Amino acid sequence: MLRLRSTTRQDTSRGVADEVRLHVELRAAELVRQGLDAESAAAEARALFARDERTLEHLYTAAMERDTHMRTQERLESLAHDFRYALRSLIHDPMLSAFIVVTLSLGVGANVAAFGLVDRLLLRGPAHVVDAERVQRLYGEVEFGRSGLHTSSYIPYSAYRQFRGLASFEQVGAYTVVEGVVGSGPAARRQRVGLVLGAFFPLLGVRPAVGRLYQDGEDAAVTGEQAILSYELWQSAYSGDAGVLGRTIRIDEVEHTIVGVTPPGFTGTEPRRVTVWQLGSSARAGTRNWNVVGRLRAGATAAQAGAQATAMHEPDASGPFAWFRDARIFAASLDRGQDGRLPLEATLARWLAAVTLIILLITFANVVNLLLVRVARRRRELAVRISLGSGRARVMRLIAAEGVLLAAASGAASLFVARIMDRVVLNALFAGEAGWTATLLDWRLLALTGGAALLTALCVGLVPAWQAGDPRMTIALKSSQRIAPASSGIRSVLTVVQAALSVALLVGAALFLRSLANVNAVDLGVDSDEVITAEAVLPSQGIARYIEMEREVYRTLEAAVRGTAGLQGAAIAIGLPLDGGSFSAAVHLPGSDSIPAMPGGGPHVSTVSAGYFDVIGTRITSGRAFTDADREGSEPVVIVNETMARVLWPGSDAVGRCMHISSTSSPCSRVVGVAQDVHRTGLREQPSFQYYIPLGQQRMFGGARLVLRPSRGTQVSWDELRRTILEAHPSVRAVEIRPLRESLAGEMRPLRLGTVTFGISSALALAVAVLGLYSLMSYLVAWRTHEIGVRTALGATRRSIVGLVLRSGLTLASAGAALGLLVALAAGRWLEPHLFETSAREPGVLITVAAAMLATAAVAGWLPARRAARISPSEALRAE
Amino acid sequence: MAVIKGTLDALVLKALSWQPMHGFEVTRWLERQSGHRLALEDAALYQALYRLERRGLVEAEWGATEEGRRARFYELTPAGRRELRQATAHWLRYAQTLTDILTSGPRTR
Repeated sequence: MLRLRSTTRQDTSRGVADEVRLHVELRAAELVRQGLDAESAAAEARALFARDERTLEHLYTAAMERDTHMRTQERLESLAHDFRYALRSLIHDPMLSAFIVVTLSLGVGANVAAFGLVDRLLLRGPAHVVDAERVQRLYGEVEFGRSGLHTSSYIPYSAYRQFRGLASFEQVGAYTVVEGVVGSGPAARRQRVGLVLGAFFPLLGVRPAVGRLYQDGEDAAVTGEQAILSYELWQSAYSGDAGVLGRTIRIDEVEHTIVGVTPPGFTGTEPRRVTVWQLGSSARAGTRNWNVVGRLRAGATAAQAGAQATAMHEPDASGPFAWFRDARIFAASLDRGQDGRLPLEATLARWLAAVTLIILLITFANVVNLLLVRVARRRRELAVRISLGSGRARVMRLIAAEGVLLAAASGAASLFVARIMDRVVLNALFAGEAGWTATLLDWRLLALTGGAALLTALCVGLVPAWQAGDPRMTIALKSSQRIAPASSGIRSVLTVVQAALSVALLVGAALFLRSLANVNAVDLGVDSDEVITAEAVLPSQGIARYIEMEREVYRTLEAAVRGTAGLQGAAIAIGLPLDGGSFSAAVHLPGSDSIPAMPGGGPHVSTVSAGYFDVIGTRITSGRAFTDADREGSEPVVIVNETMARVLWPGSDAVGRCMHISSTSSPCSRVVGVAQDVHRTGLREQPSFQYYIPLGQQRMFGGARLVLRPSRGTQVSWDELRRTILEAHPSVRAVEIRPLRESLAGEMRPLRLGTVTFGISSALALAVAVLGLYSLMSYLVAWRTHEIGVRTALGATRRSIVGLVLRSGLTLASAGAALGLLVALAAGRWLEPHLFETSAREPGVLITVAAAMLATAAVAGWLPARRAARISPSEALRAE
Repeated sequence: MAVIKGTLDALVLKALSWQPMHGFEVTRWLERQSGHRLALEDAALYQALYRLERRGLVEAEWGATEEGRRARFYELTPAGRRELRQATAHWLRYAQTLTDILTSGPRTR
């Protein structure tokens, strides 16, 4: 049994005093009966009770301790009782409880994941960099006539040498990342290799996992080739063997002595993974561009560093770096990209965090709303409780306990949500490129989740409890009076706002989806999804000899891979489509001074082997493709694209015409075929002249690739291909295989990022809006029970009642949708550059989204509407 | 004769095992049962009562004496009853052991 006892310290001491007084009086009376006079009996009784004051003090202390202990005990017991009761009542309404936990955990989880991202990209700085905000990267701002202001972190070596003396920097270093073949045999791969100068490692403050890192000045006095492994390479290639120091690793054909290993997750000052760190020797440094980083001296600012660098920078007017002459230098933190701006990921992360935070706040409001509806629906039960003497405080505590339980369940569930969301976001934003293999979640985020859960508990526990304890509510409960829902105006506004938010976000998601669909609809002129390419890395040598050797090696390789299981065809190409790395060579027509310039530049040329067009999937629209007979020594022939045929020989057939390649003095090349236009640079393509010459008839271009087409529906083993190619010719150092589609990754990225971020946030917003609408409608139905009953009594049909309730919901949803569309139209200007051939005002998208919102609203309003329709007049009146 | 340390609680529990009592009644009961042989400060008894109350062995409630005076009545809880049984059994064993030792004759070879 529970007795609510609220004893204070005063109560306690008064109680003890009463007890003592009674005792002493009874004792004195006894002594009087034994014959003592009243006065000495009283004195004796007191003496018998306690010899001195200290004994009495002890007694009081014991009583205090007893009451404190028992108060705590009672509180715990009644708390446990409250929670048991709250749990029972939540289980009694499983749909509602599940709904609340799901939305809350989605809201909190998404926030935790979004904050994790912001934390990683913007707040925490690169892994293992000490006091990252003091480390600055230098940028050069250069005015390039037509193309305007150009900002880049690429700085010539000569400028780096000058900047080493910057007074604002304590230490200065530089790095650049190049591609190199790391390892030997089948394990050899093209990897990102970091070259470092100066105090790069010391200024970052990074400590080696094993061995040592390069010190300042080592690049000037380098002896022998050295390499520092990334932790990841150390683990995968050497299984973390500490004896790796002193062994060698082959980088671009040269053996390097391993001197150290960087700590796990270290990627320098950029997020992308670097496999090996080499020392940039002064001898080779002069031909490259470098990223210059420095650690600010105490008291120095980035602005000072920039100003000093601009002032000290001595123009080097000659040589390949003349463009840097008038550069204005500024320093910026490491979260900036190579172009000096925040990278798209960081901007999106910040944006995602803001949106999820708004959604979370709305979620709180909705859940509170829903719990208020519950309080309203349970007013009879609560009234009975209060009239049975439970006390308002007790009822408030019961309601608060429900909120706390919901918050605790949501907090636990949101950890799972955050984990999943974290995976999704990591994959979408970094797709295997990032060095951050580790999850974004750590103790800080756990603490954040805990904090959010606490906040949730406060919101969803206290507000309804306060409402339940509102005297007006109590009066209403007791007297069964109906009071108007005071804040229904605010609730309506809230519903409109969340409908608007979800519509705006849904429009964003739909636009990105539409863009992806448009991307898939683009005819690239090649089968980018099917074809893979293989690059065999060959030893470098003089250009003329290289081209010849490359041709011979690749012919051997092409023949060798033909037998590979699952491969339908193979060809050789120099100048691949889609990757933008094509060659240009002038074309002259007999009897014409010049040919027209095309917006897409060019004319672009590719050198291809026989069978190339079949393998890559480019249609020959007229004439013929190359055959094995078109090679070195045979008649010079050429295939042109449709644009070239149409523009150069309008109205007549291009086949059979003659053109001079490179110079007017070169022999006439005969056009033997016309091929469809092909995207050379990516998804967005301007019309350009493109032509093809047979392998062997070109002299200027190197950089061959094998173009391979697997048979439809079969899986070609890349390992087997790699082995076949490696074994086919002794010169092959390493083999790089990748899908042709990968060239589009750069352009697909913003689309994918946009789809994911808008997808996640709009799904969240929609879930939240549905909940909001549902709770509002339930609330209204609960409050209007009487009115609805009267309507039914007056002959309203169920249909008309459903219509009545649905209409009020749809009105709000429509207002929200309209507002959302306005927002979407206004924000479209900002979104459009990131879309692909999609207008941000596409009516189809806008109408579909608005319709979807209304349909969802109808579904959300359906349950409360049905509940309203089931209200019978007698029930409604009894409820009074 | 002084009360042996730690036994007062058991004595108080025993007193309350008959019926709920207020403090003075407990004192009087103990004095009568012991034939006034136990030397006990009254305050110590109240301390024992508070201690027992805190441990949940007795429960207290304000009520009125036969003469209509306000008094705090103490009642044994089920836990208190259990404790009394255990304390009694323990004390009997202990006393028996002590008695056996103290009353044994000189050792014989």
